[in-house]
Amino acid sequence: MVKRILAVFILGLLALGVQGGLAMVMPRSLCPDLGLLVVLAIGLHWLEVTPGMFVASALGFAADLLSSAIFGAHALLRVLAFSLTSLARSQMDLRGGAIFALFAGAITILNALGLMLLLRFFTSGEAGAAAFSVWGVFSGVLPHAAINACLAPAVSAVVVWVCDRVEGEASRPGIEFEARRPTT
Amino acid sequence: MIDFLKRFSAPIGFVFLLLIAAIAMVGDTRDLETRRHQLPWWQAVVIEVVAPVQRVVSVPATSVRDVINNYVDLVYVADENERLKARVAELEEINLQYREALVASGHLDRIAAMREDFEVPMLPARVVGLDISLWFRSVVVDRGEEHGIAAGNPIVTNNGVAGLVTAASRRAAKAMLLLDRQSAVDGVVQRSRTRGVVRGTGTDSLEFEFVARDGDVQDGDVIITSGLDAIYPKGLRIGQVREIRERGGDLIQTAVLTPAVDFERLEQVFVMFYQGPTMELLYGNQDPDGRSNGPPGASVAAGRDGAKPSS
Repeated sequence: MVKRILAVFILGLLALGVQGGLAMVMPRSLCPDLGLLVVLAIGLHWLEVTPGMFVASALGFAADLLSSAIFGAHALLRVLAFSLTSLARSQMDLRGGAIFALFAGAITILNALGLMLLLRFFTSGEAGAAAFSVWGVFSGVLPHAAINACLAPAVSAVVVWVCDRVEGEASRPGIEFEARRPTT
Repeated sequence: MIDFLKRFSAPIGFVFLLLIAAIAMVGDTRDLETRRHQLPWWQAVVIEVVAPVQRVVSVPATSVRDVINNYVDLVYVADENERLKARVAELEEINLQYREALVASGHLDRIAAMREDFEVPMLPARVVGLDISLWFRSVVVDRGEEHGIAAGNPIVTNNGVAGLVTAASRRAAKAMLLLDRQSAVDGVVQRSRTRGVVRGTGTDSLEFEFVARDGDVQDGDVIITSGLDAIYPKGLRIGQVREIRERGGDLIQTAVLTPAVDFERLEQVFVMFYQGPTMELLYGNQDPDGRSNGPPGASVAAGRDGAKPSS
C-alpha cells in the first residue's frame, strides 16, 4: 500500500514535470493537464478512498508550487476531483475508455471554473475582476478539455500499470472489486 | 473510537483536506501583504525534483523546434544581412554625430556616471518549464539560490522586462510573468511621461491603465518601467501601445499593449540581482543598496532595451 502511494505520487510529480516541459513547445490550450488526469485515474482505480484523497491533495499542493495560482487552490480542486470520481465510480461504470474520456473532459471544465472562482474570491481588486470571464474560460478550456479527454484513458492505463508493477496485479483494489462480482 | 474513525475516515479526511487547502489559500493571500517568504524544505524538494524533468522534456523539444525555425529563417538571412549591415553603418554614423554633440556640451561624463547607477549584475538562466495551469502565467528557470537568485529579483530578456522571481529553491526558481493576472507594474509612456499601471490579463497582451485627464497616450507609444513601484528598476521596456480603448467619460482609460518580450518563445532570460525596496520588505534585504552581490560569474549587462533615463 505504502509503495503504491509513493509510486503514484512520484508518477504524479513526473506528470507535472512533463506537463510543464510540454507547455514550452505546445500551444497552451492544447497542453494536457497530466496532473489532473493522474488524480482522476487514482479516483477511478483505487477503492481505498482516504489514502487516494491524501495523494490527490499532495499532488495538488505540488501543482500549486509550479504555478502562480493561490497556494492551495489546486490542492482543494484535486481533492474535489478525486471525490467526484470516486462518487461517480460508485454510481456508474466509468471503466470504459469513452465514458471515462467524457468524464475527464467534464471535470477539466469544472476545474477551470473552480480555479477562476477561487482566484476571484481570494484576490481583491483588478486581478480578481479580470479573472472571471465566462466566455474567456470556455473558449480557452474547450480545446484543453478535449485534449484531456483524449489522453485520459491512456493516463489511466499508465496508473494501473504502475500500481501493478509495484504491488502486483492481485493487490490492485480494482481487481478485488472485479472478483467480488457475482458470476452467472 | 477507532471503529468510528475507520468507518468515517473518508468524510473526515475529505473535510480535513479541504480545511488544509482553505487555510493554505488564506495564508497565501495574507502572505501577499506581509510575507518574508523563504521556501520550506518540502516545497523546495518538489521544485528540485520537477525542474530537471521539465528540462529533460523541454530542452530536446525546443531544440527540434529551433532547428526547424532556423532553417526557415535561413531562407531570408542573406537579404536581411545586407539590409542590417547598411542599417548598422547608418546608425554608427548617427551615433557618432550624437557623441560629438554630447562631448561638445559636456554631458558625456555625466551620462557615463548615470550609466554606472543603472547597470545591474545579471545571470543568464534557461526557462525549463511553463506554468502547469492554463490560467496562470509563470515559468520555472534552471538557476536558484546557489547561483545567488532570490525571490524579488526581476527577470528580463534583451527585449525588456519579463517578470519577477517569486520563489527560489537551491537549483531552480519560479517567476511570475508580466502576463499573469496577478501582475501589476508601474509604467510610464516613454514619449510623454504619462504614468499608469500595466496589468497582466492572463492572455498574450497587457493593459496599461492611466488617468484620462493627464493621459497623453498614442498608438505605438513605448511603455517602460517607472521604478516607482519599487519592484523593477526604472527604464526597462514593457511593451508598445497597440490600441486605446475609449470608455466615454471614465476617469481611468485603458490601452492594450503588445509586450516587448515574446512570451511564446521565452527560452533564455536574465535574472537581475536587484531587489527594489518593496521586495526588500516582502522577501528580506539582500544588500544594503538594494542589489544582491550575485555569484562571481554574474555579468554586468545592460540588457535594457528602451532604457533611456529620463532627464
